[in-house]
Amino acid sequence: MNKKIRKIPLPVLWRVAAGLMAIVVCFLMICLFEKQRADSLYTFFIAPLSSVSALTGLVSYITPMLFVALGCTVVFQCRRYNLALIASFLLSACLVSIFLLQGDEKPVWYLVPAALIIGTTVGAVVTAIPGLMALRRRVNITLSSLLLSYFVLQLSSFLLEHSLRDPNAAEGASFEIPQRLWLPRILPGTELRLGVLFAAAALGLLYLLLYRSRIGYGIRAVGASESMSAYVGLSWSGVAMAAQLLAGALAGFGGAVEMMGIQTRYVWNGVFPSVAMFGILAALLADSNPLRAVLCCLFYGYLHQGAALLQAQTGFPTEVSLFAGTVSILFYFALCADLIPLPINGKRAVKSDAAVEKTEKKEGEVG
Amino acid sequence: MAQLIELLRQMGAAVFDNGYLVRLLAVCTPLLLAAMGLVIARRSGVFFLAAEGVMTFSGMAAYFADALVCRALLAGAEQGSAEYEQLMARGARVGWMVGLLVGMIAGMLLAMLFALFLLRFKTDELLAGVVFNIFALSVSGMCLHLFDREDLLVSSAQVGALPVLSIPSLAQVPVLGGLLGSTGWLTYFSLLVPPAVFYLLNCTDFGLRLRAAEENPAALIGTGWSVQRTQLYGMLFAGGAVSLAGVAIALMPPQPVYTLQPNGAGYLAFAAVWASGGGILKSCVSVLLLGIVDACTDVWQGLSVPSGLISALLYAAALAGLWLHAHNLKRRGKVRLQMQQQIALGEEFPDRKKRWFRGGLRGKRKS
Amino acid sequence: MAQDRLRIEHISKAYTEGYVTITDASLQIGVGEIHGLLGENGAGKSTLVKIISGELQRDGGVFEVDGAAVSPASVTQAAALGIFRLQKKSGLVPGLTVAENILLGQAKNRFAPLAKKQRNNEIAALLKEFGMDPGPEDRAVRLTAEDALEMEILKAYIAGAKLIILDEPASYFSLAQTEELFGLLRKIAAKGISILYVSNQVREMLELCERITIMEEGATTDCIEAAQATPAQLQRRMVQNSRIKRTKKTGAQPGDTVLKVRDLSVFRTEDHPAVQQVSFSVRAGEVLAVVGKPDSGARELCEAICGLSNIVTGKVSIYDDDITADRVRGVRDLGVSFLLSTPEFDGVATSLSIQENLLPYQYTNPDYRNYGLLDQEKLKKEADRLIQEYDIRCKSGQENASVLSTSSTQKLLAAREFSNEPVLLVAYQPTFGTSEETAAFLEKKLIELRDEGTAVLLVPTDWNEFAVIADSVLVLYQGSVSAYFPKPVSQSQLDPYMNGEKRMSEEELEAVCFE
Repeated sequence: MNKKIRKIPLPVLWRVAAGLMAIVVCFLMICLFEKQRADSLYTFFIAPLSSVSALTGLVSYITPMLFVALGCTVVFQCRRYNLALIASFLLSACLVSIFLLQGDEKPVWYLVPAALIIGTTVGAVVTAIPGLMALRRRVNITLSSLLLSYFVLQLSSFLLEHSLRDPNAAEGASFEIPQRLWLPRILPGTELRLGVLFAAAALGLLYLLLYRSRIGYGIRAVGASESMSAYVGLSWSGVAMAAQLLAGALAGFGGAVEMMGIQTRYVWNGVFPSVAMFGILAALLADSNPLRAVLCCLFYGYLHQGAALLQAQTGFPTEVSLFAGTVSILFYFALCADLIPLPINGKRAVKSDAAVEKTEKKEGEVG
Repeated sequence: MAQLIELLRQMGAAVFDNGYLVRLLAVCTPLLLAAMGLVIARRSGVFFLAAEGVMTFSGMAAYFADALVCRALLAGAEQGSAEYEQLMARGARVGWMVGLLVGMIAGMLLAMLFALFLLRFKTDELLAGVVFNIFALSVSGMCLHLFDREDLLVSSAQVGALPVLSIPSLAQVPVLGGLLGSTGWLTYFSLLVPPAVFYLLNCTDFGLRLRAAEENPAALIGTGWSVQRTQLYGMLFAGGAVSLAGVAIALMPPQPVYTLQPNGAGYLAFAAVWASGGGILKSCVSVLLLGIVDACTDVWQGLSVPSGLISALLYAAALAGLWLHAHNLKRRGKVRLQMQQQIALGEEFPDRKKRWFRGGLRGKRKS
Repeated sequence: MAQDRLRIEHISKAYTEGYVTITDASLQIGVGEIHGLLGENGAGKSTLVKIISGELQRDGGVFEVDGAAVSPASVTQAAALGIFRLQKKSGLVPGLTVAENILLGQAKNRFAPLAKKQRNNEIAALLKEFGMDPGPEDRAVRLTAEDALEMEILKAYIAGAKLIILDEPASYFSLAQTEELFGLLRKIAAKGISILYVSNQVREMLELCERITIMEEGATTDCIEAAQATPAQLQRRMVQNSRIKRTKKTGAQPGDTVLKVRDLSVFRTEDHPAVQQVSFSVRAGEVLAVVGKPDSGARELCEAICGLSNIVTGKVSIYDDDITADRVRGVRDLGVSFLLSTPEFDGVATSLSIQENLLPYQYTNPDYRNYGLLDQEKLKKEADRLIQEYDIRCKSGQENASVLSTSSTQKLLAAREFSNEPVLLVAYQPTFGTSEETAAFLEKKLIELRDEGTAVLLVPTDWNEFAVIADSVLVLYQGSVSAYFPKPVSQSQLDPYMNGEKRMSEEELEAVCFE
């Protein structure tokens, strides 16, 4: 048994440990604050996996999360921590809703693709803004992207008020987006829609892009070592901008997909959508690898679905899943700090990309 | 058109109202405290992006402690009875003290945890900051819902606010009377903080060490403290100031309000400090400018200007500030090249001595 | 017998990442003595100094300070023992004044207000005592390099140093004005503080030090009195006799002019030129060695030609293609390769695989693509071929580049640059920090490249390499060309030109400007 564990690379162990930590945290929270413990535990942990509809609901839920996570992997691989993906996601969802609701008379084959295109473009443009600021004026990209996210949050509230608001619905919700504009189901009888296939395709394409193409090599080289990319003549600015545009496009696409079947209305409740937050966390846990990001998305999605079911049942807050998620990431960072020098095959495990020493400078500085 | 002019007139009237100045001070207080904490952090070389999270966390802790205490005091008393009024007054007197204490402790704990991750675990600053911020958001949402569910809290109307310094005689003063009568103690205290920070950074040995930690850690070798230790001590101060800022937001007189909506004050203060290059006076001016815009958004709420748009204006202002303050790299490079060409081709050669320090004084900092 | 300030005996340190092996090092420094440590690059001086100053741990041997056995585990601990090391990366805080810098950390009460006047007076008196120019209120950022070093020495003195180590000061500023520095050092030594002066410049060492320990190939071989030694004697001791047979090369057969540099000026800082109006040419099939003292601007010259830094005036062209305004991309497109690594700028991405580090040019080459995707088979074959040819020690090309040793990393870089069939190769200290074997191997490869017709611009790592590879020599002194020799010459002939004592006439220097 010991030998088997030794063969598993350390980072994988750390990831599993982080996942376990998240589960432990949820477990503790439920035990502490719930009266009907057994019931609640069942609802939280078992119910999301118990039926086909629950499982397809889970997959549906993580579809937009996966787009955000994929976008994050691209920018994180490039070491430009541009979190305007949240803003891209939000604004794209908002504008797509407006577009769909106001184009009610037009045919489906025009509206749906157009909506997807709009979402993608809006997403790319929004994410490019902090990128440009970093390029031209060396403004810290994380800071400006976060401020932009707050800006878009307020802006979308304004847009909602003026264009979408359904006076009959609860506060802060838009009209319902007509069913005919939703993406078609792929598995009849379930809620699984075309968006899932899009996500799978995006995953495959992104993997090929990052690891099997010239641009992906450039992205990873620029993120891995500034000195090497300078040496070799790779243009940082060009590569970084390309990566950010791509990431923004992915996040925007995710926002569009969300509005076309996964959420029936555009809802604004003042906070950032947890889907986007989870996407970021999933990318961090996956160490910016697209394939691992799917598993991490599934895991966090599972936690969220459990929390949502529990909330419907007893009013337990859904934020507990996000809380557990952040705790797991912090735990993962702490483990990755390499403080425990366990030799594996005689060598120390290579440090992960997510928790890198300060020796190599990163962030928005370009040029 | 006439409507627009009427609207503008109303907006102008609102700004020149006494209420505006009160609001301005109320808004500037936490921003100033946070900015001063961030100045200390920056001058010790720590990228304290988690300031937003620490503020959210300490504000949440302060509010909940206050509300819990008030609730506990009011338990058992009949609503509307004289006893109830008495207990409410008592709650108003005591609640804020408990809130302040608990908030400070909570904020400092989170700040120290962040310092641990940054200095000991050597986690990437940007990622750690972002994760801590999401952590704080999730915790605050979770706690609000949990406490609400158990009905442990009083309504926000009954939560004790931070005390106000009101001197009746001063209230008679013509223009500033209304202002002086309703400004909190904390605002006056916060006005003392910038000089204190100036003193700390420039006139004490401790402050010089902090600055060495930022500008050239190698200089600390003979001083007996390692770089990490110096930065940790700096973070104690920074964390304290930022926690106080969080408490100030949560328990702001005249009435504390607690919403789940993140207000991004930490990021705004961060933008103010970074745009000012870490200078104390410049940061204060930036905070004032941001405060002016923020107070406008509050004061214009009732008018027919779309609220989301005005709120968005604040973040746009912060972004614009970052852009304007940052150096235009291209132009600088051109100017430098011209100067060098003149020197190379010119008749007299400049002073032959070589400077050991290359680059601007603050050139290496994350801009 | 007076106790030695520092006594180390039979120190050994096995080879670890990037650090030279030390087999047997011994050193005795008396109280108030100025002691020199002399040796060539790669002899192990840096490693020994790092052990003394606490950065590295020794494997075995005795380490005593003032008679007591010590084992500092970190630089901070060593500083607590009184051992301070001054090196290229300055230890001054640029934003503080001189007084604040010197007294950093010395205040009794951390939070008490600093008595500025009193401190300034104190420091002014100190500066006067040692005859220093800067005033206590001067901002550190305005100091010259020499003054900054002197302030650091004073800072160490105030902090209670017992042993001050000066690590290769010649490499980061001009020692033309050494009088002031040496005067300060002598005064400091007179106060009872020992000084260890590490360098490979014989002349300065003889002037300053009382005793000199010579280090060769990881072991200290001798300790001699400076008064009894001559420069030539020491020079001879320093040149290492290579145990590995170095390649013999045939004479050069230069072809067309490949690289033309005319009136090139490059600036090191805002207002100080590193290279001034330099003109020369390199022909195909020829190795032009550029030699000079550390501050002569050879590095800046190489960086400018490669497109890594800005060219202020002048013209650089490859086969009549002007590359003056080009950055690295443009320069590489014309067939220039360069080998220019230093610890800060190593050109290797440790989180990528070895293959990915070896083949950046292939990854962007359309030949290696299959329907838009990279042809993994082809790339792997190419990587394996290079790994074999250059004997890069690793299990496979898919491994992470962090597993490579320094020698292998240098070989990786060489494989990357040499295999491109470049028309011009710019090599800056190509065998820095590598083992003997690797150095010989790389030199062989360089000569092969030259024989195939590549023009090579070389800044030699040491005199051995120079003797083996160089066809012609260009001497730089403080940024301008002072000599050109079309045939290889000995080091002693080059010395006066390197020191600025002699300078060739314009006509003789024109000889290098082939068209």
